[in-house]
Amino acid sequence: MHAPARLGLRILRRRPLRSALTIAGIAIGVALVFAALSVDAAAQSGARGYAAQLDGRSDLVVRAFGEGTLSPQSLSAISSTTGVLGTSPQVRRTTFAWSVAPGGIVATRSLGALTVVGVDPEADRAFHDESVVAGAALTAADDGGVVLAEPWASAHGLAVGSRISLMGGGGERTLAVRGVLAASGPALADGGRLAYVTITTARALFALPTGAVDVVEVRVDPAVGVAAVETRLETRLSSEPYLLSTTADDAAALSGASRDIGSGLLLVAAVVLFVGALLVSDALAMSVAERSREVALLRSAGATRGQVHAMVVVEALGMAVAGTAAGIVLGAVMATALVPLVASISDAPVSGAPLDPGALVVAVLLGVLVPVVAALGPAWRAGRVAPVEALRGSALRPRPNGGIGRSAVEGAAASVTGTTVLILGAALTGASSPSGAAPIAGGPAATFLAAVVVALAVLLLVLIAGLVAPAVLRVAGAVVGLAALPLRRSLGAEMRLARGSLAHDPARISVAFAALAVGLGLVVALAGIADGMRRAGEAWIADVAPADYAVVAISPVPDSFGADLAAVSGVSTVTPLRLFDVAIAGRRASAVAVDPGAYARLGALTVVDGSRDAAFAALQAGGAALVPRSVADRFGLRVGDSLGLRTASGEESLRVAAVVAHGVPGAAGESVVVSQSDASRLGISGVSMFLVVAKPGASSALSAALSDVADRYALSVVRPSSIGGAVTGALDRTFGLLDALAVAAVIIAVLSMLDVLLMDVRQRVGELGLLRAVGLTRAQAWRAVVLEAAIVGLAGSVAACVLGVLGATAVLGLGTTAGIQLAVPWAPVGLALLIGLVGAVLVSVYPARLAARVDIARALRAE
Amino acid sequence: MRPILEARDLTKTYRTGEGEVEALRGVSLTVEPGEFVALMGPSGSGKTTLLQLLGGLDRPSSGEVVLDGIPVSSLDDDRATRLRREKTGFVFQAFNLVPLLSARENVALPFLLAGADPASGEFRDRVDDALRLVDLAAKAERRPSQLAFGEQQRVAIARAIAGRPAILFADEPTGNLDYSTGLEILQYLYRSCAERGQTIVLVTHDAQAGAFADRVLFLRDGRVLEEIGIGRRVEHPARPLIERLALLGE
Ligand SMILES: Nc1ncnc2c1ncn2[C@@H]1O[C@H](COP(=O)(O)OP(=O)(O)OP(=O)(O)O)[C@@H](O)[C@H]1O
Ligand SMILES: [Mg+2]
Repeated sequence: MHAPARLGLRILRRRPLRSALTIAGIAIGVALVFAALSVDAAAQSGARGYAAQLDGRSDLVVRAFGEGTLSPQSLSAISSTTGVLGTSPQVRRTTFAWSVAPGGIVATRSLGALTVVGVDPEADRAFHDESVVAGAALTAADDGGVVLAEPWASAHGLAVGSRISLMGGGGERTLAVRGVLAASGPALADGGRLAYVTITTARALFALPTGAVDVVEVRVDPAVGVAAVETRLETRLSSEPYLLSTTADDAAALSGASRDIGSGLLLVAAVVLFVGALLVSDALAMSVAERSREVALLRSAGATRGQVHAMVVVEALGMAVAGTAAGIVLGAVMATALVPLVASISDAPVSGAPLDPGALVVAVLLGVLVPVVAALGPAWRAGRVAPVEALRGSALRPRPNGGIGRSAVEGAAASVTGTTVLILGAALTGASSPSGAAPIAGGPAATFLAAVVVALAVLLLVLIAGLVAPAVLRVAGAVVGLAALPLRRSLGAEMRLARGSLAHDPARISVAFAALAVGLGLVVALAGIADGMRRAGEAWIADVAPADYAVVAISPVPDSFGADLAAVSGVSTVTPLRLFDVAIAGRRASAVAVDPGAYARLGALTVVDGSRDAAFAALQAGGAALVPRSVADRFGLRVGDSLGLRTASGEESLRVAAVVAHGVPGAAGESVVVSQSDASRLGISGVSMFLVVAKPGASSALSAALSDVADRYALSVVRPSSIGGAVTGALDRTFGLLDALAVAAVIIAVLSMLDVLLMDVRQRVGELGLLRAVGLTRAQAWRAVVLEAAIVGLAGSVAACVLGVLGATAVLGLGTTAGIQLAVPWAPVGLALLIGLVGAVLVSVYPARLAARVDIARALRAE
Repeated sequence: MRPILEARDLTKTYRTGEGEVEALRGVSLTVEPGEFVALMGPSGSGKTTLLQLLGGLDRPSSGEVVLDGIPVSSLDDDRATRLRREKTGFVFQAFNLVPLLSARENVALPFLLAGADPASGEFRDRVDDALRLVDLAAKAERRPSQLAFGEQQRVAIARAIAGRPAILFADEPTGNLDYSTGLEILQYLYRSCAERGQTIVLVTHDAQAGAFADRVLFLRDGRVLEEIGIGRRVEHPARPLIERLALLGE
């Protein structure tokens, strides 16, 4: 090895703690990137695998629209289409099941909701390979039998020979369990809550006409191609509304949720990388500044510029290699821990080894490249140190680090390199998947653009941080000074020293400040976005379903059930709603049928365009609809326009009576509001949800009493906020996960602060010795360092809160059409302030101890 | 009169990687109030070590230092620090000033550290007084980096005397200065001694500097080899001292 390279490595060993800090920073960054990419890859492959298992050999799926069915004519039209190799018709509906005791005839125990799948066993076998673990497979003639899926069956103590009872529109039917399927293939759907019966049994159960089907799986001749068959089907199926999807669509939809998480992870990883790059570049800059005298000596002893460059780069490379190795191990551990978390959030199972080769390559590349790029500036500067500087030696300490602009450019260069590699890597690893699902959509051009934008944003952020840092630090100093006012007499000296030390090297302090502001800012922003979205969801629900409880049915129930709910003591009003699918201009949308009088009395809906009274009067009069703003925007509707609604059994043209701020969340977005009588002309009857308002001061037992009644009719009692997934726990969990990861950025920022403080104490040993000689006590030295950290911590976390709230506002403002009002998320803001302050103070304890323990005699000699 | 400073049988052994270094091997001395004493000796003879023990900056391996009646060597760190703050002033060869503080703030440092408000009446007067003594009142607001090296040393002297310490310790204060600037510094030290009765212990290896003292203690190999009385004079010719030192083989 060359001499300068050896020197570079020696330097690492000479300052073990500070080297360890930088290595830890690199390791955390690499770990997060590796974990994020790996989990993302696992989620993607899990979704693909899951979709492949569900779809079996089908290429296309035709589904009946809404609650309608497809007729035998449609089925034969599908079968006879050129390019269709085979079809498998199904009846597929959700209902409730009860278990029936052996020998008994009465259903005894509720098994909860279940998807009944009526199949033609012969046709089904051509599409799916099912593996029977007990009993036998379903046969075409077996009208009294049912086949269940493994985990669910055993969870409910059901085995071959058990009997279950299913409730449908055609009454109740008791079936005997003939076989149990392994949890694979199509039996994975709906979490295995499946009951396979013959299609004839299913039609009878749900009182469907002969030959009616809900779903047709289609196998396509590869020579013709899916797209060609799709177009042919579109011309041939004109008599009934339907939905057509390819299995690729299904896979994409399934992986959608996990892809959102993946992009979130990447965003967090990019910010962590940014903060990490700042730390590395700052650490190297400090290390070079500290050694300028030594470098000068080397130069005067004959070291070439190239050798000095090599020394610094090798120092960086040494840390990079150590950090990357540690990061990969840490990342693998993190990924393993994250997989179940992400699985709990996404719809599809997350599978695959937590070690993704593509992710490994990107992480290693980042871990090595970022520190080396960060080393270039300092290396260049080290090369410029003139040999004569060795002889001067008149400075009390190494010269300050240079301007803020330089720090910004160097930090930004490193983090931009990192971010670019990350984005490109993510795009490439994503693109290598068959479905072409890149975490960042839009191809190489958009990816490059994103990298450039990130680059500029990073540069801007650091420059701004550098510019505002002195002012912010002064203000924070004053605030800390004010807080210490009662102690002023005794803290005066410490405050003066802390502030002096902050003023000494603003560029370096700015970097710690910027890192803290960005890291904590991300935490605040994520929490703020989650908070804003949750509150928007709550506001939305409060507007469209202003009730205490929602009693929800899986499939529509008679209006008369409402009377039983109203009879529960403590109930004030019960308002029925009927959610259904409609087609507007050939596109799927949601609608809700209401009793206009009752719904109006609830105080529901905010009319944004027209008067509320007039709107409800029009609804009552019939032939009118109230359209949510999002739907109006989507279809270009205005008050007075006519709106064509189509269902499986009819078509109606209604007048738009008003535009409302929000509609009830339905399966296809916010619902158009129509009256029950207009809905019945569309073939829609029954109730899918009762909104229950409690009497003032109703007892807490109301929920239990409602549940008792609801259970009888297989209804469930929920909080209105959970309607249609408007306010979901998944949202909170997703953001919670991202927030937890964002803490990595804070950890790195705090490490960087530790580095700065250590460097500071080290550089000022002489000064500390002098101060101690003239009467600074150990306690005072300790307090001066802690105060310095507290000031930076306070300034950094205040800036983080501002940055975070601004960021959250921007995201919420841009992201949605729903009017989200932003409020300052006080809890995260408070937490951020606390973390910043406490983190900074904790981290300062060790450097403060070093400062207090300076050996005066030796410090004075060292000068 | 009670001596202001007394050292009895001081030894100091440094432990290093290679073994032990006996920097002091039994030094006893006394300094009377108002006296100007110089410690001289070849490099490595233990001058700095002795000064650090006398000033309470370090602890002896054995022996005792009594400063103004207080046994310094047995004090804990806090008390020793306070003692330094209240009863001593230091001037070192270089890097005497905190670069972030102005000249005035550097002079006021002992008051600031004591928790006093250096801008308030009495302390302000003392700081001004000290700055005047070293003729730097006009440059009080400058940072050390804006001062010449000799001026920096004068600020250090001002700080050392501002607190009216019982004793002022100086370790080669002229070591980094050219001949005439060095003399100037010695004049200022002498002035504080002559005009205000400031007790001074000066470490130097320069006979020209030693000649300013009333008495010179010559060290070699960690022991006091010779005591040379000079007495207070207005002129400080170096020749007699050089001649005495020549007899010692210097
Ligand atoms: N911290 C230390 N560790 C080990 N040895 C030391 C230490 N400090 C001083 N010494 C040794 O103690 C002896 C006395 O040193 P000291 O600095 O007191 O001498 P000095 O008379 O002040 O010399 P100079 O005129 O060069 O300043 C020397 O041999 C020196 O090497
Ligand atoms: Mg010395």
